[in-house]
Amino acid sequence: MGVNVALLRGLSLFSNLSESQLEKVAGLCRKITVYPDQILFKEREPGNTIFVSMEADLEVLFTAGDDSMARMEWLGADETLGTIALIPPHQYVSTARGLTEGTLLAIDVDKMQKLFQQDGRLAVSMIPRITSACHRKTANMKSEL
Amino acid sequence: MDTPYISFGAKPVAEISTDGVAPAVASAIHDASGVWMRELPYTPERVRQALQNFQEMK
Repeated sequence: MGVNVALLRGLSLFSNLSESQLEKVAGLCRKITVYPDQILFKEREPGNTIFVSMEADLEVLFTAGDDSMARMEWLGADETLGTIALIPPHQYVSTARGLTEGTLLAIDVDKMQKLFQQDGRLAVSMIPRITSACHRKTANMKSEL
Repeated sequence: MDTPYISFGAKPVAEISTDGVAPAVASAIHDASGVWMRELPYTPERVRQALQNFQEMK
């Protein structure tokens, strides 16, 4: 478990963190590979991992009112996925599927929450980065209506 | 965010760094759309429905 701290530098989610905070987060990360058509996580499944794309392209889908799958967005490098797992009831609200082969960082939600409790400053630095993605998605949804 | 199971709707402060994520996301949704989400989880379908309701009310 754990990745080189250099992998985290330059990623927006971690851009406000000090070197010591980066090292703490790097200790929680796993580097994984996603392949085309591979489901990274599924809507309504328990949310146990947050992902940050390093170079993978993915699409995010959700079930619309008529049970059809609607595409919410395409995500590429430096995008964060699955952060809704930090919020009760800790389940994914969309499905993420790989479009290309690429690497991501995977962070265990329970460990991230424990780190947030231990280091409130780290939480305060990261939460605005987490919410900015929700802000963008909501703004996109609003503009499409 | 209402907390009906605690007296006076009080919020637990000890775990503010983890409990703070949900209201922070709710604030982000409100800032982007004008809609307050008051029920978890914040699913895309719920947000979309709330946006539609909000636009119809305007």
